[in-house]
Amino acid sequence: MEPVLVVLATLATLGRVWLLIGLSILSGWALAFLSIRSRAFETVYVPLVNAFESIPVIAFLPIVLVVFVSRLGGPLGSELAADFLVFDAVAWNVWIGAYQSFKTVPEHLGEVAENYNFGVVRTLWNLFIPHSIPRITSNLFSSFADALFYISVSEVFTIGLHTYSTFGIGTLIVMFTANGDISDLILALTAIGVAVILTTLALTRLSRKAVARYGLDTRGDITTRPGPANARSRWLRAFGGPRRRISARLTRTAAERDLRTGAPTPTKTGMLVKWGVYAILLGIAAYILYGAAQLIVSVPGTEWNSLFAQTPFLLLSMGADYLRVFAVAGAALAVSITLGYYLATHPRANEFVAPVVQTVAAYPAPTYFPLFVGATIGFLVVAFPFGYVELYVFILGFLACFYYVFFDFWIGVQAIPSEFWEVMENHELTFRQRMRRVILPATFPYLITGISSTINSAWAGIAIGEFWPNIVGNRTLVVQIGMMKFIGENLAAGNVASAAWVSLLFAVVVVIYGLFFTRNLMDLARRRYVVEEGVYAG
Amino acid sequence: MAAVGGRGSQSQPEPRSRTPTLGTTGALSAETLEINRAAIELECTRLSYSYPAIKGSPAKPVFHGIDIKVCKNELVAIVGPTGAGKSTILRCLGGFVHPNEGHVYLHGQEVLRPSSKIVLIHQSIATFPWMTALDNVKLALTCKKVDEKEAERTAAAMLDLVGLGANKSSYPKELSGGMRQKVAVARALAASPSILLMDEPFVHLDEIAAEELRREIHSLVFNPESTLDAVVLVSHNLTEVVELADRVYVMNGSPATVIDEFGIDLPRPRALRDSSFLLSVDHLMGDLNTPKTKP
Ligand SMILES: Nc1ncnc2c1ncn2[C@@H]1O[C@H](COP(=O)(O)OP(=O)(O)OP(=O)(O)O)[C@@H](O)[C@H]1O
Ligand SMILES: [Mg+2]
Repeated sequence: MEPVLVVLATLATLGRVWLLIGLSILSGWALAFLSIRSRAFETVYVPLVNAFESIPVIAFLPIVLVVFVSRLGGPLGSELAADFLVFDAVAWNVWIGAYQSFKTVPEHLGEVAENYNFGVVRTLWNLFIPHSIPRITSNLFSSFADALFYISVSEVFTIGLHTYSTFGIGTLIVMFTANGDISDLILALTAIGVAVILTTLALTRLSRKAVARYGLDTRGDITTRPGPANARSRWLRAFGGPRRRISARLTRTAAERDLRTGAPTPTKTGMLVKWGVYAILLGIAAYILYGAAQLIVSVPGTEWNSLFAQTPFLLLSMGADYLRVFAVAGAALAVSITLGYYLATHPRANEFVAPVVQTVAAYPAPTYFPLFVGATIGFLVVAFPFGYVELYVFILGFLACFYYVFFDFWIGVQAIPSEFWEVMENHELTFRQRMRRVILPATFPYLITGISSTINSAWAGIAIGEFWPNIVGNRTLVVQIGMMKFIGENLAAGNVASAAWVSLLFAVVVVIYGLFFTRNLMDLARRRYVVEEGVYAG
Repeated sequence: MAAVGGRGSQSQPEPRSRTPTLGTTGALSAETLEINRAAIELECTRLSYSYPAIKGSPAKPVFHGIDIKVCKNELVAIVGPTGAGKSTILRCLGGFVHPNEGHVYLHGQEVLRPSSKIVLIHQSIATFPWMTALDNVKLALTCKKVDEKEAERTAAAMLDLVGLGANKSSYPKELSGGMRQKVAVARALAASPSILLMDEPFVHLDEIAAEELRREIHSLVFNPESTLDAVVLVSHNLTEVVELADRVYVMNGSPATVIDEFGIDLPRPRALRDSSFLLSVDHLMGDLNTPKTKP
């Protein structure tokens, strides 16, 4: 048993996660400030962040590995690769949150700041940052869960014969699992459990405090009414923690309408900050491009031929993965809707289930999955000799994304005004009629705004599950066909170019899909289904 | 002629044997004051309600020992200061909320859960934004076993009735607040309820829209084709109450009790500047300004 090591590693991982969350908040503020000050920057920044947010982190893995590990190498490279994955898991979300809340700073407050000649730093400090705090704190929980999900794949990974690792609980878990050191593994999992529970508690309190103190941003709140509806809103208040970016997204049109006309004349410091951030962004972009270019140049011509020849097969594999993703997301949706409806109408069950769901959600499934597989594989191989791998992939995907769907639906249900519930009761609608006519339309925008995080997390689960060497003893979990399997196998074989090529294809598909599909749905959601408009008050 | 309100309700004995002391403004004969038990549509007896204790704050008794009777073709109003529990009473009457003590009866049958026999119109206007006006109204007919065509026809007729015949396919956000509230009224009427509960239905409308709807609402709800037997209106606008109600229950105190029952027998349409009208308003005002009484 290695209790000291486990505790240190847990602290290291938590430290890494929180540092990176902190970094993404700071950079989020800087970028958000830039984009409200400069139209030009905004027009580039906002679509870009949205696009990146909709790309599953895992698709970046090969590129990241190439850039950080093969170019920088050594412990620093491993550390940066791990950091980058975690950062990528949290940053887009936080950045969007920061931008939204900067954008929705009430105009009169902005005018006060100008009136008193606040200058950049004081305006930021006294106005924009406080205003963004409720939204950012309420996003922290899901950021934390997102980041944690990847620890066992980001802290340690194998390319060819090399295993790159950096110190942290994820690395230890992989090591204990590989060595079959069950008692240490359980110790490590317990340590994560404690960390998750403490963090959940702390964040819930923090979020409530933040809303109480800085809460201009309470558009989501509904008036209380007696009866079951009231119990619902009470529950919302008790666990109003991770409200995520939903209300932000939904009110984006409003935010855009509120756009302050004519940006105030930038001050000297403002210009300095602006160009500084530009320079940093440019530097990062250049470095990534350079890495990619290096990679492309280093690929011999014959290899290109084989990459192109493989492309149809790769697209097919991608299709298989999309099927898996949709199956997982669909199942998660069905379960979420049933459970969410049940909880919304049974406030007593709520108070108990909510924190449990939250804690379980933040617990990174990949860390305990091998244990689960070990316990069940003997049975499942016999029960489903042909489908058991798919079943495991499905389960991991489900574990990875269920929470997001559930939460989106849950928040949507919370936002249904009690008046609507009363109308449904009054007109004696059956369960199906309620679903079809009221609850699904009312929660639709919430499900849509959450769709990219849902899909991403489903991808993450599937990606990890499709190819998992030596998950139990010498047994490797591997599907018949799948893009993530292809990436995993090629990385394991040291064939980075192929892996990168698929990633590139995938990124293109995802961006196209994001632009055409998610966008249109979101617009529809915003136009037609915003429930808050239903109750006319004031 | 002065409006004389009875003030006997606090120390009422057995509710069933009680003869309400009603105030009169017009020449109201003694018989009409007596509530004919056979004419009672909706009744609640000794209703009490407390909001359950939430962490930190103890249970909060809202009202206590409330008796309300609503007779056929009556528009009964409940007035009281804000927070007196008017909305809560309405929800008890509709079966949305269960009282801690007391019972609610509709035609002698206990009301245990909401049904389309008693329809509530909210103070905040609850129309579904993703449905057209017509679909909003049709929703009231989904639970009734009428076919699609029939439902469509009924809904359209109701919209015509409230004067929204031209806006059937508009979405709520394309309608003004007053029009939306009319959609809610049409939806309520489409359910062909016997009781209509209205919780400050005019409070979120601008003065002009509110005045217009007030003027129409009485003839609307008691139109010849309506199945409606009675209406309960909650309000804290005394002029509105005197304009619309046949009888008024005044609530006050903490926990609130009924401190006055007051009949208004003025001819309709009522002239807001009539001296008898103003006297009634004054009377209610006087009720609300009496020091809060603890039972
Ligand atoms: N969900 C709730 N939980 C606890 N107390 C509540 C709740 N809803 C209302 N109350 C309290 O119950 C009392 C009665 O509320 P209710 O809404 O019935 O009053 P009301 O007479 O309709 O007031 P208003 O005129 O402002 O609409 C109020 O004092 C309020 O503070
Ligand atoms: Mg009220």
